[in-house]
Amino acid sequence: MNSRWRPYLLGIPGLVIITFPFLWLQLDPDFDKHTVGISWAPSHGLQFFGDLSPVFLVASLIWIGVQANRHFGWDKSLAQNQTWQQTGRAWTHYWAWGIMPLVLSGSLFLSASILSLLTNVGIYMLLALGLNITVGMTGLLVLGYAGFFGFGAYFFALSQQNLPYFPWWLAGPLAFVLGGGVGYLLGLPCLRLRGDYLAIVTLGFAEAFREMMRNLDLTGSDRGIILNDHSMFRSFAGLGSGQMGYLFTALLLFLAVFLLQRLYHSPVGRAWIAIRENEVAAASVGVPVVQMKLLAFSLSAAIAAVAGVIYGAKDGFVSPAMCEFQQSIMILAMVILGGLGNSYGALLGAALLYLVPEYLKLVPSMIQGHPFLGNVIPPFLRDALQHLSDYRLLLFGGVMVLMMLYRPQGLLGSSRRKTEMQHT
Amino acid sequence: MRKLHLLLSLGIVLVAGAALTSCQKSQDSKPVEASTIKIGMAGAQTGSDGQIGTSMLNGSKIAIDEWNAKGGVLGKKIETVILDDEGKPDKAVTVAQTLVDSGVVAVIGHFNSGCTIPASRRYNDAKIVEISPGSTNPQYTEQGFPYAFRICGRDDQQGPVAAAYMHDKLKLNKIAILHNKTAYGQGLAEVVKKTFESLGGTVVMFQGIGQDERDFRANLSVVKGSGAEGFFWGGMYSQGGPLCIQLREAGLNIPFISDDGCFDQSFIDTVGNTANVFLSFGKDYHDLPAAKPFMDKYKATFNQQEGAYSVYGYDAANTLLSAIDQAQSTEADKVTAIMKNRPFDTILGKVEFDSKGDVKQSGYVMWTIKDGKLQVLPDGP
Amino acid sequence: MNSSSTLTEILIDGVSRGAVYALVALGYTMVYGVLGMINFAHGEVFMIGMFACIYAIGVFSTTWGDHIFLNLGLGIIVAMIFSAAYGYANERIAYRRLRKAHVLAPLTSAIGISTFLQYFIFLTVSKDTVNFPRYYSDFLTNHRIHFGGVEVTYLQIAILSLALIIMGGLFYLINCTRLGIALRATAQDQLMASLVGIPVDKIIAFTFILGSALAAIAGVMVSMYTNVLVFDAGYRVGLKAFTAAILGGIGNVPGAVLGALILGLTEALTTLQFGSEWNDVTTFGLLMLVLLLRPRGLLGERVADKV
Repeated sequence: MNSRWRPYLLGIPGLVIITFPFLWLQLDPDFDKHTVGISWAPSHGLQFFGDLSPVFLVASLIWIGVQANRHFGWDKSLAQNQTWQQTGRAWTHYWAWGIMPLVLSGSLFLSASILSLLTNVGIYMLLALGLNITVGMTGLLVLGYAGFFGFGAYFFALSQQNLPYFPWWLAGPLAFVLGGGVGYLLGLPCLRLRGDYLAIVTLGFAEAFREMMRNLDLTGSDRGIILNDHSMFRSFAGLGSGQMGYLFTALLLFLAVFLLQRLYHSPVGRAWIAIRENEVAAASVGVPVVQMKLLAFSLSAAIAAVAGVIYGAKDGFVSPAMCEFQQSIMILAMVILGGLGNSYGALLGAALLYLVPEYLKLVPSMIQGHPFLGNVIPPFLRDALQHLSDYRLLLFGGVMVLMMLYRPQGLLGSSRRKTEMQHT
Repeated sequence: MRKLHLLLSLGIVLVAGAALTSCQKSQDSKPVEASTIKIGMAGAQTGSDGQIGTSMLNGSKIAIDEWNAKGGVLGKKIETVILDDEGKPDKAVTVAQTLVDSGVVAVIGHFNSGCTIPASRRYNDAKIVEISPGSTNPQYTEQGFPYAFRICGRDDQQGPVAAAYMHDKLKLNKIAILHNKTAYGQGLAEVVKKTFESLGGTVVMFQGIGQDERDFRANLSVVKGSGAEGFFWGGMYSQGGPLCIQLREAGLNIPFISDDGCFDQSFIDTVGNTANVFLSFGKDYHDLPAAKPFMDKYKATFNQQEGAYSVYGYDAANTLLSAIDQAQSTEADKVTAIMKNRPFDTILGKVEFDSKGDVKQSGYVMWTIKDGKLQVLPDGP
Repeated sequence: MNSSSTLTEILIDGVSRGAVYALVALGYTMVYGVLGMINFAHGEVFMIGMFACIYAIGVFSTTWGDHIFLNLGLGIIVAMIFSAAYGYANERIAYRRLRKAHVLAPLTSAIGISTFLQYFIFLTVSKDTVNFPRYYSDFLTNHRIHFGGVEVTYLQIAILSLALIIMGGLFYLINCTRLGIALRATAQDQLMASLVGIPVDKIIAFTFILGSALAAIAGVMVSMYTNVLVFDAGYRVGLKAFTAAILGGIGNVPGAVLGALILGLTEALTTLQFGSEWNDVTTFGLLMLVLLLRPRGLLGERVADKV
C-alpha cells in the first residue's frame, strides 16, 4: 500500500506547490520604481477551478463509465483480435455507401451557415486523412503538415490572380502533382535518416514557406490574397455556390476514403504497416523501406495541397495563417484522437476537434435562451460555461496527454492497436 | 460491431448538435419579425491586441446601452452579437461569415486592418453596413464597397503627419523603420517611408519583424550602424514597448516615433517616463465637453480607464444607430445614404463621411509621454 | 559608426543569441540522447523559469524590500528550482509510462503538455505581456563597456560567461565524474545500464532536471534583455533551440552548443544583410543544407540505434 500510493502522496502536494504562485498570487507592477510586488489573489485560482468545474464533472462521468465498462465488460468484443482485413472489407462496402446519399442530400435542406461549417469540417477531414497516411499508417511524425496545405492554397490563389486563362478546375489536380513533388523533394534527404528529422524538416518548411508568403508583396504579404470571386464554386443546376462547394467536398471525401481504403488493403498498405511496426524487420523481409516512406509522404503532401485548393476556392481568401504550427498540431491531434492508421478515425477526429470548440462557444447562449435548461443549471455552472471556450486549448493539451497515457489507440482504435502503441 | 455503435452514436450526437444550432440560427435570422435589432460587434478580444480591441468594443457597448435605456432604436431593443477575431485575418473571415449568418443588420468592427479588409467583403456581399472604429489601412475604403465606413483616420493621413513631424519639427534627415509585417504596420511604415523621402529625408533601414519576436537587438545594431537619427515603429504596443526599451538600452537616445497602435496604457506602463517618445494619434478629446461624462461612465462600468479607441467605438456605435434612426430602416442602402449625406455629432466633434466612407476631416496630431500620461504636443501639426 | 563595428556588434549579438539557444538546446539534446524523444515541452520549462523568477522577485520585494543582487540572485535560484520541478513533473506524468511505447506516443504527449502549460500560464498569469522589473535589470542592461570600438552591455557579458561556465561544468560532469559515466551509459543502452546497477529512472529524471535548470537560466537572461515575458515565449525559442541541436548532431552535447552558435550567428547576419523578416527562411535553408551535406549533424549524432 505504501509504495503504491507514495508517488501520489509526494506528487500531489508537489504539484500544488509548483502551481501555487501562478494560481493564487498575482503580480503588482510598480511603474514608478520599476519593480514588482506580489499580493494574494485567491480569486484567480478559484475562478480557474470554478470555470473548469463542468470539465471535472464530465471527466468524472467518463471515469465512471470506463470503470463500469471494465466491470461489466460491455466492449469485450473490442478485445477480440479482429484482423484489419476483415474490418476493412466490411467498412468499405456496406456502411459507407449507405451513408453517402444522406450526406449528399444534406446540401439541399441545410442552411448556408451549416453548409459552410460542414464544408470546413470536410476540408479538415481530408487533411486528417492525408496526414493519417504518413503518421498513422507508416508511423512517421510530421510536424509541418499545414505547410503543404498553405502551398496548395497559395498555388490556387496565385494562379487565379495572375494567370487569367488558368482554368480553376485544373488547379486541383495540378496542386496534387506539385504538392506530391514538394513532399518528395523534402522527404528525399530526411527519410534516409532517422524518422524524427522528417518532423523538424517539415516544421521548418512550413515556417519558411509561411514567412516567404508573408514577406513578398506578390503573395499579398500579411493580408493574404483576396480573390475577386467570393467562391470559385459556380452555381449549377439551381444549387448555390455554397451547396456546390459542400457537394464537391463531400464527393471528394468519399472518393478519397474509398481509394485510401483500397490502398491500405493492398501490398502498399501492408508495407506501410510493416514499416510502422518495425522498420528493420520490414526491411529484412524485403520491403523497400525508403521508397515506401517517400510514397506515403508524397501522397500525404499531395492530399494536403488539394485540400488547400478547396479551401482557397471556397472562401476566396488565403493567408499565411493557414501554415501556422498550431494548424499542424491541430491536424495531428485529429489523427491521433481518432485513431492512428484508421481512416474513419481520422474523419471522426477531424469532426470532433473542429466542431466541439464551436459548440463550446455556442453553449452559453443556448442555455440562456433555453427555457428549461436556463433554470436548471445553477448560476456558477452557467458562469463557468460562459468562459469555458477560453479554456479550450488548455483542455486540448490535457486531453492529448490523457489520450496517450490511457487510450493511445485513439477513439476508434482496437485494443490490438493499443498493444502496438504501448510496446514497440 | 461495438465500434460501429460508438461511431454511430457519436455521429448522431454531432448531427443532433448541428441541427440544434441550426435551429437556433435559423430562428434568429428573421430580422423583420424579430423583436430586437441585431448589431454585430467584432474585434480582437484576445491575443496581443486584445486589450485595445476590447476597450474599443466596450466603448460601443456603452453607446448601445444608452440607446437601449432610451427604448432602443426603431422601437426595438438592440441585441449585440459580439465575436472575437483574435486579431487574425482568417478568424476574421469566419467571424464575418458567422455574423452574416446570424442576421445582424450592421457591424461595428473590426479593429485590426488586416481583419477588417477581408471581412468587409463578406459584409458588403451580404449588404450589411460595417463601420470600423479603428482600422486605419486605406485599402479598406479603397475597395469600393458602398457599405464600408470608418470613423478613425487613414494611414495615408497618419503616416504623413508622423513623417512631417520627424522631418520638419525634429529635423531628422535619416531614419530607420521597423514594422510588424501586418497590413496595418507595414502599410503605415510604407506610407511614412514614401512621405519622408518625398520631403527630402533618407530611410536608412526598412525591415519587418514577426509579431511574436521580442528580441530586437540585432535590428538595433543595424540601426546603430546605419547612422539613423530617428526610429519609427509601425506596429502595436506589445512589441513597441519592449522595442523602445531595448532601443534605449542599446544606447540609442534617438527619438522613438510610433503610431496609434502603441497608443495604449500598457505602452506607457512599459516605457515609463522615457524621453523622446512620440506617437501619432487622433486629436485630443480629453478637453472636449462631451468626453468627460463618457470617460466617467467607462470607468464606472468597466473599472478601468478607457482605452485609446473606446471613444471611437462609442462614436461609431452612436453614428450607426443615429443613422438607422434617421433612415427609419435597417436597410443598408437607406442607412448608407443617410450616413454619407448628413453630419453627425460625436464626442470628437462633427463627423461627416465622404463617398468612400472615410471621415472628411480627421486630424492626426503627435503626442508624447509626460508625467506618465500621453499628452498632445502643443506645437504639433 | 562604420560598418566593421556594426558587423562586430552583430557578431557579438549573434553569439549571445547562440549562447541562449545553447542553454536550451542542451536540454533537448540530453533528453534525446537518453530517451530518444523530442521533449517539446522543454520550451515551456524555459518560459516557466522566466515567470517563476519574476514571481520570486515580487515575493522578496514585498517581504523585505528591493535589494538588487539579493532578490535577483535568489530569483534565479527559485526559477531554476521551479523549472526543474516542472521538468521532473513532465517526465513523471507524461513520459515515464510511455517509455516503451511507439515513438509517437511520448511525442504527442509532449505536445499536449506543452500546450497545456502555455495556456495554464495564459489563463492564470496574464493574457498579455508582463514586463520585467527594470529596477533589477537596469544595472546589467544599461551599463556598457567599450572594447574594440563596440559597446557590449554587462548583460551580454553575463550571458556569455555564464554559458561558458555552464558548458565547462557540463563537460566536466559528463566526462570526468561517475554521474557522467552513468549518464553516458544510460544513453547508450538503458537495459544494460540498469543491469549493471545504474538507477536508470533516477538518471533520466536527473537529465530532465538538469536541462530544465539550464533553460531557466536562459529564460531569466532573455526576460532581462527583452524586458518582456509572454506565455508563448517558450515556443519560439524551443523551436530554434531544437533546430540548433539537430544542426550540431542530436544527442551530442558539444554539437548542440556549436549548432546553437551557428544558428544565432545566422539569425544576426540575416538581420544585417536581408532584414529580420527572412530569419526563418535562412534558418530553414541552413538546416536543409546541413542535412543534405552532413546528415548526421555537424558533429555527428550520438544516439543508440534501437532495433
